[in-house]
Amino acid sequence: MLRYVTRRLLLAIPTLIAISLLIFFIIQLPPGDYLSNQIDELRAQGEEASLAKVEFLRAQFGFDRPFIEQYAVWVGIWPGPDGLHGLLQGNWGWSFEYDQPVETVLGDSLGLTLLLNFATVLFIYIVAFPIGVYSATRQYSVGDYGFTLLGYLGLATPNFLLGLILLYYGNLWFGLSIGGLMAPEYMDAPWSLAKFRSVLSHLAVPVIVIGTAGTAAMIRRLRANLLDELRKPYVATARAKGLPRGRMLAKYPLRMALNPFIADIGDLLPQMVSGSVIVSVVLNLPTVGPVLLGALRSQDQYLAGFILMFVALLTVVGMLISDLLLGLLDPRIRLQGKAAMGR
Amino acid sequence: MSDLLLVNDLSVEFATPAGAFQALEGVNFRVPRGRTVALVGESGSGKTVIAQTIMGLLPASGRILSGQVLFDHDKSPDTPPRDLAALSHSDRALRMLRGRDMSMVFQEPMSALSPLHTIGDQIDESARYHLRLSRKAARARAIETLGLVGFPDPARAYHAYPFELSGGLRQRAVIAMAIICRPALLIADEPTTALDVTIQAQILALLQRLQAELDMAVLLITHDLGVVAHLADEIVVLHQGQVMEAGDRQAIFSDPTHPYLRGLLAAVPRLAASPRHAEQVPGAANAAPPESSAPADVHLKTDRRPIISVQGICKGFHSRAARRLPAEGAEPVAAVTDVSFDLCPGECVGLVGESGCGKTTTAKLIMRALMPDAGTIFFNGTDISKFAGHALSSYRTQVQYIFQDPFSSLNPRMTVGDLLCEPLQIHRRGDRASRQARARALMQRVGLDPDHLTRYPHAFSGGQRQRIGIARALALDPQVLICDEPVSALDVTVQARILALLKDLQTELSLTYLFVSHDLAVMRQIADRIIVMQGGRVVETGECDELFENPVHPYTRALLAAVPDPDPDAVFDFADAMSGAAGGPDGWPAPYCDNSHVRVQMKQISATHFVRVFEADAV
Repeated sequence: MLRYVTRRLLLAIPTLIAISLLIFFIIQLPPGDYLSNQIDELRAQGEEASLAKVEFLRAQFGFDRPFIEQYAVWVGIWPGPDGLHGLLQGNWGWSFEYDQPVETVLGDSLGLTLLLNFATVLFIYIVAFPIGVYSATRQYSVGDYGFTLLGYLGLATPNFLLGLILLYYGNLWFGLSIGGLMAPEYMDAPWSLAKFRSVLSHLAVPVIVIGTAGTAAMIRRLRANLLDELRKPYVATARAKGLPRGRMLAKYPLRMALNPFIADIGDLLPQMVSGSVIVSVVLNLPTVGPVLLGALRSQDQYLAGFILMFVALLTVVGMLISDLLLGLLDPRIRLQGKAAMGR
Repeated sequence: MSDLLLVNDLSVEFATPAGAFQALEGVNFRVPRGRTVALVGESGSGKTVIAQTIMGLLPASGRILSGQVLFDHDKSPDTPPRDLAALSHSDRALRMLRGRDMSMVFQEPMSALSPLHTIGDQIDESARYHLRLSRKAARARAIETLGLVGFPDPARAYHAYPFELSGGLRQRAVIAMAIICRPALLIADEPTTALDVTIQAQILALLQRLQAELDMAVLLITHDLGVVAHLADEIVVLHQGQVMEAGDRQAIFSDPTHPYLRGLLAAVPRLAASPRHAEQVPGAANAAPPESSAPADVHLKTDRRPIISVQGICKGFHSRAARRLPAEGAEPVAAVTDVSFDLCPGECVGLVGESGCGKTTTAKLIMRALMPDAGTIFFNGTDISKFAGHALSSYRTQVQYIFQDPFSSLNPRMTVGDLLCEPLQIHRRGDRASRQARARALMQRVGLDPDHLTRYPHAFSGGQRQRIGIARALALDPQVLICDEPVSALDVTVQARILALLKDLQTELSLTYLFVSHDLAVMRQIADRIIVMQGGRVVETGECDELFENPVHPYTRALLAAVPDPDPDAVFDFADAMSGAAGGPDGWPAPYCDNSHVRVQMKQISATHFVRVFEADAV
């Protein structure tokens, strides 16, 4: 097992290198860059004075250097103007649009994104599991049809519409402020218990909005998986033992039906970041989604690059977690390779 | 002695999209305490429905219309027997009986066990639940039970996962799971159908021993009359949900009165009698068969040129782990080692052996679905590995394959007509009209109604589907048919009809068969020559009759001994069948065991009979 973990960790390194190369390459694909766009604009406006500063920045960031050197400086394996000072050294880069370090631009939003996504995943699992199990074990019952209908409604309703409706009633009934992940007075305040509470109460709406579609899809899949498992002979064996139904269900078919969901954890994380952009814009959530959108549009390359790297890292870590969990939960994965080796 | 189980006028109905279907109609039978009752019938006869009704495991679409299932698990006379049919299937009372007083062994041990839990975890849970044993006590009991069912190292087996065990041991684990609470009634639903013959003999012996030791009644559900003849005290014959005949084993076998039972008994292939007839072998009379382009030098069997000649082929497979880490030096697992034989025009060669012996790999090598690591296969004198392009596709039309499972080998989304025309289409033969005509002719040839060409496979029974599979294999006028267990998924009566069809076709079309099977009785019916394989090697080969009458190799003998004959008077010693020879080379005496000092050779017993020995040059 330890060898497996080490190997997976080592494998993550070339994966991340490949991803970072690809990200940097794709960001630079459109003609020009943020600064040359700026220069053109300044020239058109005749502001020759500001040009000097922009030219300085161009040189500073090595925009006149070859692609591979720019990449190496960004990652931090090649000395730039300030020596080795890239991602590896903890320098997240400079945002031209905001004229600030990326670190300052993103601020709390990385943490809030993680918090929001984690809460959403949790919401999906908590809601979808009991409903999925109920639907599968009572196939074609009134309840099953009811949940199926609700699920389709959840899938079909546009997220942002649902978000607006929930925001309206949240404000009407609970006095929640519209938009954002916290009441306005905490916006730039340092973290405190009150601020945390405010964040929690504001989480409800976005979590429900982002989670509904995922929940509906998950219910359908869990129901289908479980229905397949319920028809398998080992379930009949377990029933023939006379175990109570709930205990039998949880121990055998549900455990088997879980595998695809564990395997999915890796995919969930990046989906949440990129999938919730529209909702984040509509609900004015301080997550990285809208920032990424803006950065990509204005070719703010270090900001976009950093966010994409962050998502890639999440994916790799998520995949690692799900693989390790699968190995832990499924003896076939854990032991079969070994058994074959011994032969 | 009172009856443990009494089934009275039981009728069960299933709701299907096509309307109600009555699976059982007024079934009556009894199971006396401590005896074995066999429920015999073909698929669809309602055997399994009876078991499900008794256990309360009927699917949601099933409904008990009438009748009683009286279960008297309590030996004290004051408690009246309980009517299981009256307890609904989620009822707690019925659930308390399940697993404690009555339990069940299923057909396929791999799928009957959860792959995610250890054997021990699955076995001791009913002891913990029903007998309220502590974790430790339940574990001790599970280990004791594992020892009882013959695990060599029960304490270790307790922590094993199902996929780490062989098929036979898995079935033993399922049996241990069923008997851990020492039930009064054990229902065994086709407990050995999925197992090899030698393993089957061991499991049957185990059931017999357990029954005596635990004083348990066994309701044995099977289609195999050979098993029934040696295990059952009483027999109940079912057909389409009705009891055809019931009674004592001796009475049933010696004097079958119902025509259905007589037909069933007649259909069972037997090892003892030789049903061979002269007309099976296409003789010299029709020297030039109309549909064969072979030269007319085909007359005497002895100087026939082989149509397919297999010479010293070897094939190994790398396990997944070994492929990933080739540095570890893991050797490939040899599936086929140095196999040689000839297939002469018009003969049927049987390839016999148990699962994993390499018979299917051999068939696939001949099909060129796989390439051998060493050795050559000649087709009419040409090396098939040299075939490419047109020559290869023409070879593929000459050698066709009939699959084991008639359900999964036919695409459910294609009509029978499309299925039969597809090979013609692939090889660009004829136009649409001529293909249709050919398909109609093929349907007729295999005994199906040509008007059914527009139907889909699901509209046909298992036997009919296998006929479609045969028709598809015949579509391109092949010379050689490779039949991979073509009848092992079918009921005995259907099996007999398919074998007869194959024989007729062989004569009419002068086909050559390579018949792969694990079933020796089937082999005896159809094969001219038999090749016995074990562990990827040919251990004995000979003319069919001679091999059956005078088996020389210990493995062949073990195989033959392990098949129970459907004759209650024939002595069948389960213990003998469990002797070491079935296991593999380790249990074989000299000169059959591996001896590195002496060269291995195929020793000649008679003109056509050879056996693999380690012996200095003899004869």
